[in-house]
Amino acid sequence: WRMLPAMLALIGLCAPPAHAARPQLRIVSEGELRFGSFAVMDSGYRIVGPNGGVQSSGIFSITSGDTGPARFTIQYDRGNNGRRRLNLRIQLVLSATPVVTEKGIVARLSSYRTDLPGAGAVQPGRIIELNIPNCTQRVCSKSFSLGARLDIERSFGGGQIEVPIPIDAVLISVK
Amino acid sequence: MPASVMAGETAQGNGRAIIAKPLSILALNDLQFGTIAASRTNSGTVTVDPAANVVDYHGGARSVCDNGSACTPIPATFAVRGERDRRYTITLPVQVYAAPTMGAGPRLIVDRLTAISVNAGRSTSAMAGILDRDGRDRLCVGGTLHIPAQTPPGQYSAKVPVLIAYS
Repeated sequence: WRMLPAMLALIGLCAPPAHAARPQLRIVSEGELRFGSFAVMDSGYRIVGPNGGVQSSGIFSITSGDTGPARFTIQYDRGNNGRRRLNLRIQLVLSATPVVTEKGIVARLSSYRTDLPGAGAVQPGRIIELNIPNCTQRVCSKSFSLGARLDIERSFGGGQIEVPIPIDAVLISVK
Repeated sequence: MPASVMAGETAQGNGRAIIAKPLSILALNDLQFGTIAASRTNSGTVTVDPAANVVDYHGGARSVCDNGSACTPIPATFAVRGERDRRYTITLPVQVYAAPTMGAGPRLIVDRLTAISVNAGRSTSAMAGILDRDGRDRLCVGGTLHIPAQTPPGQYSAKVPVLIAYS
């Protein structure tokens, strides 16, 4: 009988500690940058703005309503259900995209533009500051839209063009 | 308690576009109303139906050609090229004028211009075509030539613009 309480105390001391999940930063691509369907004689370009506005030159639309900016969401999961107010500082970098060739078509993406405050026109490789202040939720997030200019040179034929848009995010500070 | 954490993440978005072959049209043969005898007292018309390849003569207009001869009326035909399986619209003017190229005569009205897409046929709404799986179609264009009474002999010619666009 005297041994039992001591054994119970020992078991309590040896119980495994509780662990919270590790904080995690994520970038979610919510939607593609859509330039629509169009015909090009020799060369032309289309600009899709972060607000969805479209400008074109040298191309002939064959559809409507199928353009739109890319959409990204930056998420920071604090890893627990605490409500401590967090102020996050994140840096984003958009990389230059490769020239894409599809049969007789050469496509180039350039002139990134976002709707983030203070980061309208964005050069590849340039750091974009993104702040998420006063976050009390488990997952702190901020979304933004991205537009760009697509230049097309066509020598023959047609096809579907897909241009990758690499994006990097680094969490600089959590306060 | 403030904390500085260095954590990086990489993702990839995507830009997408569909580039269609441009639409092109090539005239293969002209709209021919043939050789016509005009009445001295009555005006007349000659109508070339592009769908049925039928010619109608009304009023004072009469054909002087034997069927199948080189002077019989035929619709204009055009070769259309573009992106496979795409639809396109066809626009023709309301009327044009055929001016004399030989002889002295008035300008003759050509109206009721209509076009038929071989692929789309009569079942579609008017003035629309569709490219086949090879991106090809053929257009036939007809119309009605108005010949006033006492139109002098001569050759008459008109330019008929045909506008096509993806729809």
